[in-house]
Amino acid sequence: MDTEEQTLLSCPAGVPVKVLRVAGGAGFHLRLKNLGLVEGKTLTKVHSHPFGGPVTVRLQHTQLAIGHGMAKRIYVEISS
Amino acid sequence: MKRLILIGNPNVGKSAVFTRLTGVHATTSNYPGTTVSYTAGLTRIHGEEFEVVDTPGAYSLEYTNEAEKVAVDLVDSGDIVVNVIDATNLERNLLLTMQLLERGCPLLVCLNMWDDAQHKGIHIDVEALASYLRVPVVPTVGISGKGIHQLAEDISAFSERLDAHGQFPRRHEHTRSQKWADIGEIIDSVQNLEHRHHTFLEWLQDVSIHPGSGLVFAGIVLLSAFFGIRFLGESIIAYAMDPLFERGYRPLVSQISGWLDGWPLVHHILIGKLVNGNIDYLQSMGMLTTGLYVPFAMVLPYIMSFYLALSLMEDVGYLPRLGVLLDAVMHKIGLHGFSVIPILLGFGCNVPGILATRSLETRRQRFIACTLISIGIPCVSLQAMIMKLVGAYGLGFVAMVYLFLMMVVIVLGVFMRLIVRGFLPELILEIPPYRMPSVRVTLHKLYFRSRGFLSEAIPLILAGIAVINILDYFKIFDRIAALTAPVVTTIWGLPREAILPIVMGFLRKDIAAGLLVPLDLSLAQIMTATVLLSLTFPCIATFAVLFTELGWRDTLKSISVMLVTSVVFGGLARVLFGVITG
Repeated sequence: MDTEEQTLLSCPAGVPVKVLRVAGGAGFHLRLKNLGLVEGKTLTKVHSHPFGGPVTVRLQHTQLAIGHGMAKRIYVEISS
Repeated sequence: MKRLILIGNPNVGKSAVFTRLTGVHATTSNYPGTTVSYTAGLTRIHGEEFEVVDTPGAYSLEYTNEAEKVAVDLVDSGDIVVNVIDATNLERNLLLTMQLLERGCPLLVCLNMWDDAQHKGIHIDVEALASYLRVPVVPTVGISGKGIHQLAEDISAFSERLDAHGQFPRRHEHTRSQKWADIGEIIDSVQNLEHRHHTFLEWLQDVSIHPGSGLVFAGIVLLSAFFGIRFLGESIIAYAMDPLFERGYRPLVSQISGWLDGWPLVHHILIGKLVNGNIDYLQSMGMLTTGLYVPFAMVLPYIMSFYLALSLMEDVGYLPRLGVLLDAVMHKIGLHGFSVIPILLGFGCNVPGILATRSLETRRQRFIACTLISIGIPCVSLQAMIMKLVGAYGLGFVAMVYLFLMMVVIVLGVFMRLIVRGFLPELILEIPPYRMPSVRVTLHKLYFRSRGFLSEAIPLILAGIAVINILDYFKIFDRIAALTAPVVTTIWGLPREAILPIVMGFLRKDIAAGLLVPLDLSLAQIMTATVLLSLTFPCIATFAVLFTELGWRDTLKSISVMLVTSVVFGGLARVLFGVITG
């Protein structure tokens, strides 16, 4: 398994990645958890929207949009 | 009477289940879909009456915004809690279910979107799920009504058991960290996935969220919405309302006008001024003439077509996509992408737009969004009048009015982003899959919104007209006009009498715009005046809701921003429109 650590913002689109950890306050953790995004989950980035726009990801059967700065604080590894 | 609370994640079809359960007997309706307050209705099952409450979508009992808080606060008031969950997204939905069980809620699970799950190749063992959760689980399709009968039966059985045993026993004890593990275990044993090929809807989903093609798609959607609304609105006016008022109502009201000949004041209030000896529905300004024509024949058709278009975009699941695409732009004006939804609602009526800002996370965002909506977003009542007054010269001029207001919103937004303290949280939202809208839910909403408009607007319009006519009869407005003349004539370039419509805008924007007609304005003046009607004092309903949502301190700040904006941008509008129209 490739263990190179990246953020959700920097990781390539279209490849399944595993969430390693989330940096940020309790409120941020809570909002992600409420949407089903917790450590250990596998998700796939769909697009990074330009000009500081959000990152869209596919998580199980849902699609989420996560703000630019938030995506920077979600660390992932490519699960190949 | 027992109280039934419907609770669930956003976009799981709670409103469709609610509509199915209550029929048309809902007592209140607070702009469902983007429900930020609750909706209550009644239903009768096997002779027992229940109060059914539809709550705003919540992902978790640990709420993160005001709208979710409303739902969480309501949970404990329910005798029975129906947790509506999306069968296509079992894992995420079960978090709330587990929390509800943990809280000891008397729970029933409604596994909605059952047909969608099957189309997507998601198979769920309902019995296994029910025995895991140890509560009744009913698969339903809210849109078609499938399974609702069973749900009603289960509710009734549940109610009987409650009556027999009294307090509902607390069933589950979980530690927090265990919750996801439990959910994982449940999912593994009850859900089976099978791979399916991409459908056309999924392709469309991808196209409309793509950073490039999504913007093109958004442009097409918004333009077709605009032209669709106009086409439908004008058609209702031309083929239904105008014939009704001309052929049906005119003989009657002319008769009344004749009878009132001997009472000039009464005639002035009820019928208004005659133009060339005839009643002119737009200019007469009587309670029985303009007072009925404006709400029924000019605004109502646009209310219906606007809300039809909005409901479609809402129910199909398009609005969150627009939020994602415009997120970067919205950051520039101190908001994030989700604010697109309150703003779009504001185009219908500022009141629900302002209420919808409850879904925004911070006070700063709410202040900025509320101020922008009440200043720069014309409600459909005003827009219908813009269409009539400015549209008579060509749609290009209507577009200029909109562009000007958009410029005001951007300039003000950038200004407030820099001035108002606080930080800007980021967008985080679920992009729901596209779904076929339910005709029943759409019509239900349309009915409530139209009825809401008529019951709120007509008393205000009639009272407003009565006041205007009395003031006019005794020439009281002349004095006010003399007082405000410097701003009105010198800065805005309007005749001094134009202060009357601008002041009346505080009551209703539509009737205020109607008051512009007898002033014999040039095109540039009409455009400036309609822009001013949007910029100046929000109508009384908007004002009241601003006050309750923001508190008096922020409302005063918002009003100060509004006053400065009206004077400055009113002057700018005069110059710009003067140049454009030659």
